[in-house]
Amino acid sequence: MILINYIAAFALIALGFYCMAVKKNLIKICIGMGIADYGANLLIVSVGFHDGGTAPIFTIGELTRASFFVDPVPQALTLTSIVIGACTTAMTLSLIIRLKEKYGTLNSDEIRRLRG
Amino acid sequence: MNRKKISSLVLAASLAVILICGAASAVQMALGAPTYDGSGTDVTALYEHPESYDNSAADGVAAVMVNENMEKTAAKNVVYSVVFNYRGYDTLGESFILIGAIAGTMAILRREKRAPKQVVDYAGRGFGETAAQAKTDPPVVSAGAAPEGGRYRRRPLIMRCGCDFLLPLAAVYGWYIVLHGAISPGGGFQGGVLAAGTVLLVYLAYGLTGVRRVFHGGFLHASETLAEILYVFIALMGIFEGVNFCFNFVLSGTEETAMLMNDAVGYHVMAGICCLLILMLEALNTDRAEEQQTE
Amino acid sequence: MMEMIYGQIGGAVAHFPIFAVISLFLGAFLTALVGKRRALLRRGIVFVSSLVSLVLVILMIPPVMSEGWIITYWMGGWEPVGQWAIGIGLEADALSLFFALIVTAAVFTAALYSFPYMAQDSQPENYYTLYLMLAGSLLGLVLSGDLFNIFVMIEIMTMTAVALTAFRVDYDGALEGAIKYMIVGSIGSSAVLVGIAILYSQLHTLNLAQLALRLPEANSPATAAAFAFLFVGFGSKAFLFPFHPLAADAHAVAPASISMIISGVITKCGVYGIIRLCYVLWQNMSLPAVSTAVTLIGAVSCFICVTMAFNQHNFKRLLAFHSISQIGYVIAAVGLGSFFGLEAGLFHAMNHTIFKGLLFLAAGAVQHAAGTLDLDRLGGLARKMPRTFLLFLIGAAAISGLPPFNGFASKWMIYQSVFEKAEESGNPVFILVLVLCLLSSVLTLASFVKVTQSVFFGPCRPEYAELRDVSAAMRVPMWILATLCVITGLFPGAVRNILLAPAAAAAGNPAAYIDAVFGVGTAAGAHIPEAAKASETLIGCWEPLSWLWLLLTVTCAVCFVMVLGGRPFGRTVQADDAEERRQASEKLFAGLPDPKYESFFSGEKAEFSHVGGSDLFWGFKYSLRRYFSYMRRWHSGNVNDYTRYGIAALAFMLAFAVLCL
Repeated sequence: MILINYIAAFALIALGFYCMAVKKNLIKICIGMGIADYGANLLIVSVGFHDGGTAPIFTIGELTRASFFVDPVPQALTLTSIVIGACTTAMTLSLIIRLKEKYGTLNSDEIRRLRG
Repeated sequence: MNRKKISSLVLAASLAVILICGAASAVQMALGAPTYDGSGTDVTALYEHPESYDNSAADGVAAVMVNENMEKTAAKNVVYSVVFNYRGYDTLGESFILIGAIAGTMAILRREKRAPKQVVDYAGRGFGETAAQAKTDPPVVSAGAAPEGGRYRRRPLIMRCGCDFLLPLAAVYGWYIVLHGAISPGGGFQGGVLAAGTVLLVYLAYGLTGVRRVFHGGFLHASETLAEILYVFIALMGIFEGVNFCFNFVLSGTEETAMLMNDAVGYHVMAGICCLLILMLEALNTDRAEEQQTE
Repeated sequence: MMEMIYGQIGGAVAHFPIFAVISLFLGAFLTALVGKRRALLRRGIVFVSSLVSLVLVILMIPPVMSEGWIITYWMGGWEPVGQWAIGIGLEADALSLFFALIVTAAVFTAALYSFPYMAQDSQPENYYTLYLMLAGSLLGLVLSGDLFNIFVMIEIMTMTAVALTAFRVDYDGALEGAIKYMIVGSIGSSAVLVGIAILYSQLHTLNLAQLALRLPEANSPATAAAFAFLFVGFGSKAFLFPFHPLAADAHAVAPASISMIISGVITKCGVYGIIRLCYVLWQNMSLPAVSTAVTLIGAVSCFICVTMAFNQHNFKRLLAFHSISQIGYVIAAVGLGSFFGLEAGLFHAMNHTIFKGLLFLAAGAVQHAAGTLDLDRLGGLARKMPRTFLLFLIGAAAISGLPPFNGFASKWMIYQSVFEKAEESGNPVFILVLVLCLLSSVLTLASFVKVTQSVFFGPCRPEYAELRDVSAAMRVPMWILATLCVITGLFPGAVRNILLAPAAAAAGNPAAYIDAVFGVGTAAGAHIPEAAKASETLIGCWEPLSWLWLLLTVTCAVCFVMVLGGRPFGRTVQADDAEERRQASEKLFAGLPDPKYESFFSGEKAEFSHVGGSDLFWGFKYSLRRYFSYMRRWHSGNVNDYTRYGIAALAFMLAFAVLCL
């Protein structure tokens, strides 16, 4: 069950890298960055899962004698990582806004003045 | 063309290798013990008698954290306790990232009101521009002022009504999530982002003009920085009491151990995301484009 | 060798690491809050916070480096329970403190430099906020003892570095360099995150000391993959081999003080991460496979970047390529796996920050005064900016490895360590590494001859006739760095004893690192060996003062020949009109083989000639034109291409780690 999550996470990461490496439009490259980030987040949060476990909150009305918790630490790490991903996307998008104004295009083949 | 083919082949091979190694690691990770096998812990007994639990047979840091959570922090939400108590320093660093992103966005999206003193060029090769052709930027529209001349197009009625209805719900719901972080899923970050969604609601219904009239970006930025300084001071206060940095000593032992930090983070995230959204909406400046269309 | 002391250090010193980090961050927030209007207040806050962190780090040196304490500090007081470290720990041992010293010294100097340099920019409060946050994150990274905390600090560092690279939005190429840095840097960040996830799933902890304790018995393909991910992540921050085009773009367009921080400090944090990874966590640098791979990556990036520097027409882009080349030296030395190699690598890392910082600040001064960085358009600035010229000469001599500057001492140590490792292990790869390093040194010297000639020597161009040297406020930080260059070059033995030996010992001693956290005897219980503490003596002549005399003598001799050669061998010719003078000078030079050498012996003739910077080695470049054109196509400037190189590097390291470890 959990293996599917892990494989999907790695597939998302590979997909995000593919997007960054092949797509020419800068917005698509930014989306690729996001996909790779989300793949890593999926990996982290899946690491903590245990089949049959419930959320690590002592909601005493709903817990039974047999319920047990999933790992809370990867959930905390994922929280941090999501915020980091959002800030990264925000900064990249602001750079893209200014690039479009300055270069008039978002094609990565034409934004190549620094080379050699 | 040959170079392109080699490049695509190398890319395909690299992605295949990453996938295969990832799958191998995934298989191994799935086969091994899960990170925290809580099935041996009786959580109801843990809640009722937290002091009587021992964690000598712990199999990971998470086991220790879950076992001593009720005793040391009395917060029902273990994730909240991990984020603000055990790993509070990481949360501090994460809030720093938000300020860094806002400062960076402000720096990148700023508009020069005058031509810069020295326009330097880069090697002059492959460029058409010279120093003499420095672009002049469009005039600056300051926050809070309505665009000059013309009217902006009013949004459809249903959007305005929807915003009017949902706006207080969004704000209250966001803050509900923030304040109840200790006892239900939630916390400062989640609630703060929800509360910051109000900016987008106002933008959808009333456009940039509405956002400018309702929110003031400079005040949000200043108050967010103040919240951050307060957060650092709360963390520093522990040192003067003899314990280490980031220790929640103010309400130690009660249910709301990390409440001060949580609320500070909630406000900080809300103000910060609002600030980011306002900066980007200003930079895109879609109302002006609409103005030019209607005239 | 010095013994490590175990136990908790008492008193206020335990709080110093966190105070140093927080003072920088608090300074950043205060600047954001109150620094908008008054420049003096802003500069005061920046100055005070960077000075406080520098002083605190210096105050930590005696207990940690000389006496052998390891400062362990648990955030929130969450001490380890049983054998599990549940809180986030700050662990300052000698290796961390070495890098912390580099960070704070560079931050302080660059802050002093930014005051006059950024005086004309708009929104300076954002610049200083971002700058102090960059500094705080760097310090937090090297002092941290928790893997996820290191990741958070890496993210703060990347984000603020990108924003600062793009700070001068009107500068051509600034936005482009920043977005390339962001996009390709995110590959490294995602790689670190994936590595952390895999490690946590296998070992159930995030604390560095605990990971070091549990890794040797948990070796598996998954942990090998985690090693590869983390290595590529840290390597991308250090701009190693396939990630180096980002560095070239980012350094060239960033403001000079930020170029100094990126090249001098961010790369060192990548190096610190690699050292922690290979020496403390996995303890596998002694494996021949890993050692060969790391050294080879270092040597290749060293050589490729130095040859790329020949193609450059932009002053700072050339300096950027040299910066990565020197980092290649450091990684090649660190990857050897021997104690002496580690010392040599750390010494070169410190020296690189100093002399590369000096070079970038001098380039910034040239840009500030002349308005351009194009080597073909600059020229003859030595007369107009003599003090900057002298400082630049010191930096150029240091990077080329001329005695008595610090570059010579550290390169000597690197060559000796590589040579000894090659001899001891018999691995032909190390011979190749040695040859590449030596070649790169020669090419570095050639490159800096070209740069000095095209920027400073030669006749002054007409458009720079009214140029004035930069203000004293900009020169003071450069003088600080130049003095450090000279001092560390003249007294390498003292530097070695005080700073390098404890740092290298700490890196090679994971047992002490673990015991500091969990109590004495833990590491021994898990069969982690104590590090071998061999102290090497240096071969060859190691008397810096006699090298200084030799340099002075040779310089005097050269000047003597130059001055004398300009005069017509003691005979003065009286001539009243131009025609007679021309005939007289023709007679004087009748003995010379070829009239085209006249201009080298008699100073400037009537005709104006200026050999552009790119043309000095035109013959060399022409002979190797196929190689250079291939390299130029390879550094295409396209962000997709750079991403592909990064992904290929990640795949290669993954395959290597899973198959060979």
